Amino acid sequence: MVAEKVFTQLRRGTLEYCVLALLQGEERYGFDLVKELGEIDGMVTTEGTIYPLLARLRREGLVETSWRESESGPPRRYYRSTASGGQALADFTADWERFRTSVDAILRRGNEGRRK
Amino acid sequence: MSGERLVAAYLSDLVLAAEPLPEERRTDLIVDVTSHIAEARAAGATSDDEIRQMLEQLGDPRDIVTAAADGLVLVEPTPASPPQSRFRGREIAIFFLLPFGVYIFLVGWFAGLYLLWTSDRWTDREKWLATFITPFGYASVQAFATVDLGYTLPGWLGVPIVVALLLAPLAMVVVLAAKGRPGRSSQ
Repeated sequence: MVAEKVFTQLRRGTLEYCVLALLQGEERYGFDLVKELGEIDGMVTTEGTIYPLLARLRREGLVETSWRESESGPPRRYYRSTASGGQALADFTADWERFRTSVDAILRRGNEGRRK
Repeated sequence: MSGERLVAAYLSDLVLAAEPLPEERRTDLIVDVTSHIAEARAAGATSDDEIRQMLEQLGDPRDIVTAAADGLVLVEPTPASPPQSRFRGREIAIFFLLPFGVYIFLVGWFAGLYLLWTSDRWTDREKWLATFITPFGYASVQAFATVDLGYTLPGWLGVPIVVALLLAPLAMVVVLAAKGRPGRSSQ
């Protein structure tokens, strides 16, 4: 696919906000979060790289974590969004909507030009 | 490979790849991936095939480590640092030790191997090639020339074989010299 590279970049840029979005008002443990993201079409190619991403969000104070026992196995690291995580998500969402509208408009113009 | 061994091999690859990471990031990463595997197995990945598929979805340990190195300079020199020359003393030593090191009490060849595998100038494929093309360098050529096969190879066959064997270690050095560049091992 020609656009493969572009999508790799897009994925890289947007994945952390998708993670933050899944953590709003809800706590999740790593495996659960990874599986949830895996179900979004085209979002995750290598599940393992989500863990370094989560670690970075933690370093940046956008999420916080706590360990808790699980009934069915090893203890789980739970992630929840902090207030600044929520703010970062809100900022990104506004920028993303503007960006998406602009790109959609230009692509539409291109496609109309092609049909002429 | 059985599922158990697949998991063990995967984790040992991860531990090895994660070595250059700072302590805290390394521990976090290994803990996270280990718990992921445990969760996936508890959630039903039990057969060998399921475990293989689960590990494939997790991805190559090196890619995960690359993601964890985010923002850190691990192997690649910073643009500000002066460009490295292609070959340092150790690479020159490799060119000598792989073909001839065996004559330095045998350990010379192993020393050459050690230098080869710890050098960043070649990819793993090139390193495997250099390791096995003529193990023990010229000693294996010599061994072939002196071994008693129980019959004599006809000249039309024996001569080309001997010539090929004589040239192989040299060709290997030429290939290494032509391919070697700083940082290729991370490619």
